[in-house]
Amino acid sequence: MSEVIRIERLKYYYNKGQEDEVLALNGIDLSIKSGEFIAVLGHNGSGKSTLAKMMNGLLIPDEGDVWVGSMSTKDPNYIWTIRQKVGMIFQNPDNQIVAPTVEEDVAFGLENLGVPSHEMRVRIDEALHLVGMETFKKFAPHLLSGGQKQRVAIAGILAMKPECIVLDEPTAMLDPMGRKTILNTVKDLNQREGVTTIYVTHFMEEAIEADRVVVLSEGQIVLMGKPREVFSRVQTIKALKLDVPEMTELAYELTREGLALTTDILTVEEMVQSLVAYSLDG
Amino acid sequence: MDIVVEGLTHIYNVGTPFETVALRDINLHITDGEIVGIIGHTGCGKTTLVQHFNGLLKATRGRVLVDGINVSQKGINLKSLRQRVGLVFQYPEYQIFEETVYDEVAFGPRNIGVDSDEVRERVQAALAMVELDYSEVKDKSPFWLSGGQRRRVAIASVLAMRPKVLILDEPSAGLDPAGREEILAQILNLNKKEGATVILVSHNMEEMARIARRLFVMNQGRIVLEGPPQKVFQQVETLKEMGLGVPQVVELVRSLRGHGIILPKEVMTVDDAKAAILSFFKKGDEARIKCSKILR
Repeated sequence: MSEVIRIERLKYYYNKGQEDEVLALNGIDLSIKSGEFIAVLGHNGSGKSTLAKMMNGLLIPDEGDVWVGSMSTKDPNYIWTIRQKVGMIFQNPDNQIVAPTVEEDVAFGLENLGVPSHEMRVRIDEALHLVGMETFKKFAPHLLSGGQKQRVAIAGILAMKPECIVLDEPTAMLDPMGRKTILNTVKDLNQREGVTTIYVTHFMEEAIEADRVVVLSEGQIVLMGKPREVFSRVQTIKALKLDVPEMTELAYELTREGLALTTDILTVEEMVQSLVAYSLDG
Repeated sequence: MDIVVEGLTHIYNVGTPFETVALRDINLHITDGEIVGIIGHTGCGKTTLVQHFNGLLKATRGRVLVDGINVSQKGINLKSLRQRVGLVFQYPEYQIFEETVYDEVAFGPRNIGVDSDEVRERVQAALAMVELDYSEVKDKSPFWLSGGQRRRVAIASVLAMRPKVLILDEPSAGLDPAGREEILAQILNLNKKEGATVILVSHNMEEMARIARRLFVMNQGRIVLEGPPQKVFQQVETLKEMGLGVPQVVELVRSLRGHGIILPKEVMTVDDAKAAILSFFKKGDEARIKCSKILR
């Protein structure tokens, strides 16, 4: 698989050289392959959002490099190409919508790229279809729910035909239903359209859907691997001020009490299977 | 201080083409010292409802009684009402504006004419309640604190008004797991130590299962379910139809039932589930041991 983003020995300071200098990223090395779905976890202030903003040149490394394909984000000549390849979605849907109707909002990025109008039409319809919002194309954005607005924001990025989408806590402000639709939309785009996905979240139940979980603490990658591997390290995760999924925690607690269950349980179904197997073996 | 709501209807933009009925004939009674939760998907009317409790909105029909006083009538003393009923909005840290943490928390009490000695006392107490170190943070700019700390400053600034009723709209949204735990622990503490009535609006069912004693479920401007979480979360289908979930543990208990592993229906949290599963299998083992002895 080809590599979409490569991060090498990345360091970044806020307020560099000032009294209140903060080292936000402290030597990150990460290679992201085409088509991967990566979840990024970490407590508040661990450097997650800073890392996300590095991936499309919203922030530029103080030391080390971020490569998008063969382009360095440090080279100002590439910055617009990089931002077209790597789209960003933020937490608050209301801060990302700019136009009076849904379709005009999706068109915004394309207008900036100078895409011819007939092609724009095709791309807008396609993008809205992919996020399941085509019936709302004439709607004013303020009439939509948070989850719907977030899907429109994703369509705006998709219309630019990016290789990669970076989502920074896209569901933090949504209700359970909105959260589910966004996660499903993102998973779908990743699986069916092959869009590389970097998903920053505080919800462990969302992170278990990823191919790979990256855990940050104090600006460094402290754990990395498949969700099952990462979450089975319950004590390490808790020491990092994070949670494990509820079912993983329950399995861990039961095992400590001597119930011989597998500890790499992530979901309710797996827990049921494991307990049923235990009761039969007993 | 009880809150009684009788036949409350709220209509936004009455008489305009944008007229929207946000609340329809709401009746409820919250007793002094309770912790209640209000759940419902976006747009169900939760926020509209709680904004009536401190007079931010007035009833279109019906009435809201706080401590026996109808707060929807004209000429009510809103200042005194808002001292007693504190409302912490969603993402309250975005409303911080003072230059130091001290000034931020002192803003409310100063505004109602509290003298400076008492202001200091209140700021100290409020920061202590949210577990921020007074001497360490008082002179700092709130903007230099972490997200979770800023949220706590915002909550402290409401606590400094010494409210009898505290309403929190999504107090843990956007915080990391450790931050969520802290905020929840402090809410429980406040209820226990100060006897404050707490009204919590949240999307997080696990959270509700752990701290609310009684739940109100809203849908399309009505209260459709009401009762202790153990009861409410049994209505899995109804809740799912409304776009809400139930705690994962509740789903686990239901699913296990189908496989002959019967746990009590009231089990809602990881701690409950741990105890129930252990006791189930222990009993099972005892029965098995008995059985094998008999066979022998």
